[in-house]
Amino acid sequence: MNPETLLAIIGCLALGGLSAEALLRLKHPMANALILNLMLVAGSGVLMAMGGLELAGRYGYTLVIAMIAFTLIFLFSPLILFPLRRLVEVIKFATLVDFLTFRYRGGAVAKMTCVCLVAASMPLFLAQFFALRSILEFNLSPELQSPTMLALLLLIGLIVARAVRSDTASYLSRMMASAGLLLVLAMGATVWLCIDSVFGGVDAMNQWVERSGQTAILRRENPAYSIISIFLFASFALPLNFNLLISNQISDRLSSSTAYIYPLLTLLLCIPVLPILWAGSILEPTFPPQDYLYVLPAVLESEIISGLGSASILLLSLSLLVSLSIMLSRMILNSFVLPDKVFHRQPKLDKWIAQRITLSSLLLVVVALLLDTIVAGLSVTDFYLIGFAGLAQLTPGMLAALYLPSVSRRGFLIGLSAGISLWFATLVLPVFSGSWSGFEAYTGVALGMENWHIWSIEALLVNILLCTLFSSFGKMDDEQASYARLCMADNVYVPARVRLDQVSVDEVKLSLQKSLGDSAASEVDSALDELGLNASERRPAALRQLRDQLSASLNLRFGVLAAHRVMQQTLPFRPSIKNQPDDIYLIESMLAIHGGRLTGLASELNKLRVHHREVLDNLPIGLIAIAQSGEILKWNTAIADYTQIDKEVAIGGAIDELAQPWQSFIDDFLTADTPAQDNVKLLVGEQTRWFNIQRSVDKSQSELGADRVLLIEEQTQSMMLMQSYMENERLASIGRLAAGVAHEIGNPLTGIACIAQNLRYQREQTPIGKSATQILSQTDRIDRIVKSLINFSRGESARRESLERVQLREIIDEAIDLLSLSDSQRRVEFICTVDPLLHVQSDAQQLIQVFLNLFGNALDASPDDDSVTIAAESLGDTVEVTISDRGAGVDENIQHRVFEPFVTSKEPGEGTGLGLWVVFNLMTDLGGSVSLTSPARDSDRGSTAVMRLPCK
Amino acid sequence: MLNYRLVAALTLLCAAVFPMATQWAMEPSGSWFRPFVVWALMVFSGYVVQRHRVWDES
Repeated sequence: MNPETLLAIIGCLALGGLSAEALLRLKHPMANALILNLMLVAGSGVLMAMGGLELAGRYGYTLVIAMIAFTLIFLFSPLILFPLRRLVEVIKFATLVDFLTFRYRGGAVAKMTCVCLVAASMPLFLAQFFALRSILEFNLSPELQSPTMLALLLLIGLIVARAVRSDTASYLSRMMASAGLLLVLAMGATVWLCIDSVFGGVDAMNQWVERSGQTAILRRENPAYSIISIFLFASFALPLNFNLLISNQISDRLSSSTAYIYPLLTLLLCIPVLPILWAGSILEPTFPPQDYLYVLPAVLESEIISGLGSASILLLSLSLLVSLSIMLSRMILNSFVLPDKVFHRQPKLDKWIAQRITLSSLLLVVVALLLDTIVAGLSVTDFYLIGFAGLAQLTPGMLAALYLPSVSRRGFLIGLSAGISLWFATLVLPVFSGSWSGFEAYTGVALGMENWHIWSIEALLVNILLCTLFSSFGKMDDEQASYARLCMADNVYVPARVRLDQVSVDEVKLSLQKSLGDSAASEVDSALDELGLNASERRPAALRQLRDQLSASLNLRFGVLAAHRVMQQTLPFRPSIKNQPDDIYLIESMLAIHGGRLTGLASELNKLRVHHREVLDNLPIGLIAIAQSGEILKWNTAIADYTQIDKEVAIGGAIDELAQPWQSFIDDFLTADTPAQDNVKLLVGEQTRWFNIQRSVDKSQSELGADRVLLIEEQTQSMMLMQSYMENERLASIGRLAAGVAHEIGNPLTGIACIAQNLRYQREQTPIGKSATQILSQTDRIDRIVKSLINFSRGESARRESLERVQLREIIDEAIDLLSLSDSQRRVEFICTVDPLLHVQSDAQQLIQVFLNLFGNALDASPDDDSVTIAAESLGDTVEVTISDRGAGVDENIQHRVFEPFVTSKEPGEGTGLGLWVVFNLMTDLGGSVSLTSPARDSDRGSTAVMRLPCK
Repeated sequence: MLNYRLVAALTLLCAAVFPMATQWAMEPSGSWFRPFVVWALMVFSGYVVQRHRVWDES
């Protein structure tokens, strides 16, 4: 035992830990990328630190090609990893077993895959123990080795317990990143030491290589094909690679860094292998090549570099034992225990699961240690080769999941069973029981590592062949087929538009409680947070999203099988997932987010989709699409304006959840016999509105599953205009009738006047004569009124071609008289201060109409017992007439628009908004102008209408 | 979504470039580090492909 080396090991471990911590604290994207890739390096670190040297010694350059193949999964990540990540975004699964169970369905798949993965990973456990033993044997005296191994076991137990209880990812990431970092440093330092001390420089080494014929040795014939194929296939199924790269804690951008950083690090770790190997062949230590990383520096008397090598291998072995055992334990739990576990009866469920994972991890480590004591005569490389040959059996099923939807569960299970059985019989069993002479005699090829290159490939080929054969015969059931399509690399997850029994978040919580107990509420709350939904959500589409999110989160927590059982028991779809139309709402949402990923025809189709959606959204009439289930699929901008219900609120919701009166309005129409109705009256608040409404003809055979489309067009303005015209027409009729009546009144009135004159003449000085005078006065008044009515009723026909000189005061008085005939009971006084001598060039009838409108407005605006003031002033060529009231005035917002048609400050139903528009047009015809100011001149309220009329 | 241009490029790479690169790397008169140069070029191509990817995340 060398104290300096031990000190160096401890120092290097501390240095590695601190460096990884510093990298983590940097939180820089490059630092994060480096940590992730160092963790990946650590995942196969012992292979690179020890196995690489031995592989290079055995197979020469094949090592380089094998390691290239090992990193190809990352280089080709757009084909393998990114499709997987797309799927994980939606489905969420934590392990390879869960992915394969999700794709091929059923407990048998979970159990079979789990058993295969555990069996194939066991040689990797043994490789780690082998590495630990080698380190201990080199650095410690024999009596200290067993106690130290026991101490390391305890340490592994503690780390596992801590990692399972706390945040596994962050805790283990520190350990693995520091292990990877130490390995890179150790390889770099060792190769530098070897080249410098053994060869005396790079040029000298190159000359030595040429002289000694090492290049020819490196290029020798060997079973390269098997090694490359198995390394390539194993890298897909390596649990650590899979778990790290599909982790939802790693962003897409970060995971993409593995496409070049991880191969680069592996390259940097492989370059030193050959120089170290050559230095070993010169120094010829008593240790095998797999120990050169810490042996050669010791031989060259560099205790620190030797300690660095030992520390890196020690930390790599420990971190892989911990991480691999936790991963496999979770798989075992998800496949064998949790699918049948009654969760709500288990208090402190998460703690219970953590305990089981810890116990299971420790059990796996102990089993591996026991096997390590039995197995003898194998190297680290042998363990890795056996393990990789086993792991490679899972890759055909995994690749088929992404690219071959016709591969069935039966094909997968039979292929995997046959492949793993052949692997076990030909490569694993001979390790324990030696070769089977009967089997060897039958095949003619010896079993075990001697013919690893044959058996590993044959097991893989048998797997692929049987999988293909049994998938080709027989038909997959609908469930399998739908999940097979779902897992395809170029598939977009399209959830079905189905309804849940639950109609609110509270009901979802209550249902989930039946299976999960008290933890259901927090599970639902965190799912709501994740989706950005609130607890009052009742829209079916939102509840479906919530269900999907819950399912994904339970997949991560309990595995696919248990999560599927919980969801089926508590939140089943109604009636069945099959034959339901796609969830258009979610497809739209997903395409809006991920549309940028589309290429080629899909991208063009997406552009077309966006265009059509915009056309529908911007239609000037309201459009609603409703599913058969009553769910709103489309709600365009116009209908949102009509109803004041945002499309974000409406879409995805049920039609019977809409606010009144719209819910009844749409519902009544949907159940009506006629597919179109015109001018349907609807009271919205206190306002009456009219709509034309049409619906699509029911096409039950259509692809859309008989979704109904409603077109709604507001007709309120048209209806108001029409009503105004009808009112005007009625008033015009009355006017014409009044003219006739006035004419008919005129004749008897003349008779009455004549009789009254005679009577007054005969009885001039008597009271009867005085009464006759009064009768004459009253008949004069009636005569004036009747003439005014006749003149006004002539209207357009009375309009003169040219303007005439009219006395303004007379016109105003006549207008006031006419206004007093209206049925208004208002007590408002008209005070006219207009000079009787003022004259204007105008048309008397049109001017009366102008004044009638303006006086009418002033009368309506004025409070009772108030007055309206009319004044006029000559301004040379024009006369300015002002009409002022002291009413409420006109709102500033509409002052500039009061002369436009249909603009009114009166309450709905009280005014048509056409009076001032008529005034404006008549004044323009008369060559004058009109304006309105509010508040009134010389006042803080009311309004003043200012007219300017030509007087010359 | 599967990028078919990438698939085509990788297929071409495997069909044409890889055998040529292997032959060059394994020439008897070549330096011992030639395979590593090929590997480095592959890593660089991986970097170039990833650099031009469009990410949805901000």
